[in-house]
Amino acid sequence: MIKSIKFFVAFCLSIITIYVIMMFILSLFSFRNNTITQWSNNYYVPLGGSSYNRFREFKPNYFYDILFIGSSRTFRGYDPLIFKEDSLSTYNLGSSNQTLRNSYILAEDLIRSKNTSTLIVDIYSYSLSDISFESSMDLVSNIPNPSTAMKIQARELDIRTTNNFLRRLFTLNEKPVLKEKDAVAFGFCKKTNKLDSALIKKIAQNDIQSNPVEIIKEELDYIYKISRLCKERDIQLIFTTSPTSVFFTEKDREKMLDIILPIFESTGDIYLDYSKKLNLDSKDYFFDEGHMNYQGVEIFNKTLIKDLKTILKYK
Amino acid sequence: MLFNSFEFLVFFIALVIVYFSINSKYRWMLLLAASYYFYMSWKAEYILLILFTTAVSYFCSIWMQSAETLPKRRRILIFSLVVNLGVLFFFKYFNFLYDGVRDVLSSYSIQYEYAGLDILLPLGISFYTFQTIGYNLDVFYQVRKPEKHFGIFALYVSFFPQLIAGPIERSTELLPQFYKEHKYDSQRIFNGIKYIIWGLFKKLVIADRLVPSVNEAFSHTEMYSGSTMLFASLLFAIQLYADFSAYSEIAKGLAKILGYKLMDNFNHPFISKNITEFWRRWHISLSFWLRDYLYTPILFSKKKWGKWAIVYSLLITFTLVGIWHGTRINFVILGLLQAVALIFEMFTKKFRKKLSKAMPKGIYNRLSMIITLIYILYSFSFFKAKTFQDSLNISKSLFSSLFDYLNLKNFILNMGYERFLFTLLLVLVFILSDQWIFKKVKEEKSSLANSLILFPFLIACTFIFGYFGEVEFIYFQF
Repeated sequence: MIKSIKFFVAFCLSIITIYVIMMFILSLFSFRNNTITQWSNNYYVPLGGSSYNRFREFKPNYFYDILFIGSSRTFRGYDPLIFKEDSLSTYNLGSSNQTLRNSYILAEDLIRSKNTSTLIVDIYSYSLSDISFESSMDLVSNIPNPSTAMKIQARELDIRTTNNFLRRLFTLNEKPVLKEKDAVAFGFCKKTNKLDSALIKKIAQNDIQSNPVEIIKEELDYIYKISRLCKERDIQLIFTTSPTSVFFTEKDREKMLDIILPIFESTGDIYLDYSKKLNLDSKDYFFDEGHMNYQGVEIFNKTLIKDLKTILKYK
Repeated sequence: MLFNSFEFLVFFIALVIVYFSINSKYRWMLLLAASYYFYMSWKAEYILLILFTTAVSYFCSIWMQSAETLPKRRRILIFSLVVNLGVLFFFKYFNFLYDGVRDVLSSYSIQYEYAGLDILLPLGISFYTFQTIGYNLDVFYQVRKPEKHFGIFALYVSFFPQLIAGPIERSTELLPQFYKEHKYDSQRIFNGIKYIIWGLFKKLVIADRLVPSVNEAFSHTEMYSGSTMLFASLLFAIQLYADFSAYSEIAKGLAKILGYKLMDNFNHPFISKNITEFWRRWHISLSFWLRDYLYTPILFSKKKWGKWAIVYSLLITFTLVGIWHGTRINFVILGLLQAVALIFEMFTKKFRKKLSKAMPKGIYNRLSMIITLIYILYSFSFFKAKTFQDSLNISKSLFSSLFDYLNLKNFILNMGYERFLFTLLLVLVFILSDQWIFKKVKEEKSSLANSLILFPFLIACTFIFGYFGEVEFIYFQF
């Protein structure tokens, strides 16, 4: 038995050694402006894009009145320049498909009482589901702090994220290749075009919305964790749901509310639901299924500022 | 629960721990429960079908044993065959035939509203049905005595490593193994793990990586030239081989860990020098099953016909092979193409022998391999094509635009040039090393270098180059 255990340990060590060496070798050589690792599989997120600049431009020692965190609906839905008009300094830390787990890891590493007094977490049904892979790959590639990247890859429990983390470690001199055309300032990305009305028609006909979201219990635990973290750091926490298009069904919304409202009741956190409150027409105020265009963002942000001033007594 | 899922890994590790912890006389119960759980994780109610098939085959074999006369035994056998094949027929072919009847009736202006049945094909039904039929035939021909223990027999029908896609095991080989005590043996467990490592590598690094390019070409047959379709057929043949042999090897590895030996299902089929050899190397358990339970009995029943008895048996056998795969006309053509090639080989045997003596052996062998491979690729295009029209498109393009390299170049560019080249590089390495690695997998005692370098290297390759989309094994659909 001891012989078997010894062999098993040697076998595992051998796997790890060979795996790391192979990743290192693949990272050494380039082909067509990218390391071989990048070409070795289809899921690598190249360095660059909006996340790359967003997390590098964020100043952890500067004081922001409000920080926003969440998915692409956050970085496309909360414009710090609109808040600035009302003398509120804000920064948007949203990233693609960011689930609550990754929001928590980012909050844990980036948000302190010395750099903000309020954290707004935008949630919607998908941020409570199990779709963290895309977000983890993006963050592992692009956030500047390697220890945060390591935490994200460790919690993803997916060998592809580990591959990406190693690629990042072995290609420190890599230059960003993805350009972000929509980036404006303070992490916000802007789109002005409108949702294709033919697409809306198609939704009505085909009932694209019939794809119910599965809310994962583990993701819900992160509501508690974020809440606890903010209390420990003396930060006002607000959960919001920004306006949603016709693609988001009332059924999904109700399902989500049934689950999250009792949680907010128990944690005592504020929840502001704008998903259908502003009656924003999908055709005029959205540029795709999930995201508002700038016209929508303006209306939503101004309403939010008004509400925040009432709730939090911002001057 | 796929073999290449995390869920299965947890299930199997837990099973192995419990299996070796309990008294060996209770192990069959554990394996049976695990097999049923494994099957029910897909669709729980279909376990009733396995139970039904098991019960029918079990009791028929017992009655056959006690029957005094041959006609009586034959009647019981026919009953068992009708019931087992009836279940297979109902689930696999009912809607196909129903549509056909409706079309015929509607051509006579007879129409009705009944929309057919919403039937989901039970996983592995073609495999376990053949296994139980083989068992009944063995009892009928008195190759073996009927199994008395219902639980052990149920385990033979549902043994989870090979339940979904074979190998189709002989009762004479597998059943006695359930009575043996299988002690914990670390060397045997490692040997089983080697099969699993190699199987997972083939599935995740080779087969699944080829899925997007193969699907793209076969979904748009009208868009692509002969050169592209030939290339796509080659990729599909590699995908199919890597996928199916991966399943068989993982099944073999899992069984080996538990102490059971399953038969080899593949033996490097693409190095075959003729189609006869190909069928001795491809899906061996099905080929042998057909040879013993279908081809040979038909041949004997028509032995007076001489050579034409062989022609007749081959045509019947391979048409049924096609139909076994499914209801599409393409499968029937696939079967007929094999039969035609085998008949051709039978009639040209003497001529080919003369030719091989007249030519240098190396050249003759290589030429034979290339011709066989091209024929296989062509017949496999019927396997992959979704419709008969798609197959016609492929056949047309093969004859009209075989040398349209620009189309092939565009196809490669569309698939993402750099990543696709990398995939092709992996495929090339796989083709070159397949035989060598499989030899190392089969070694009963691996050297330390192989144990601590080769197999960890294959695992590392799977981690880095694997396609983790949890793609189902191709033969699950049969």
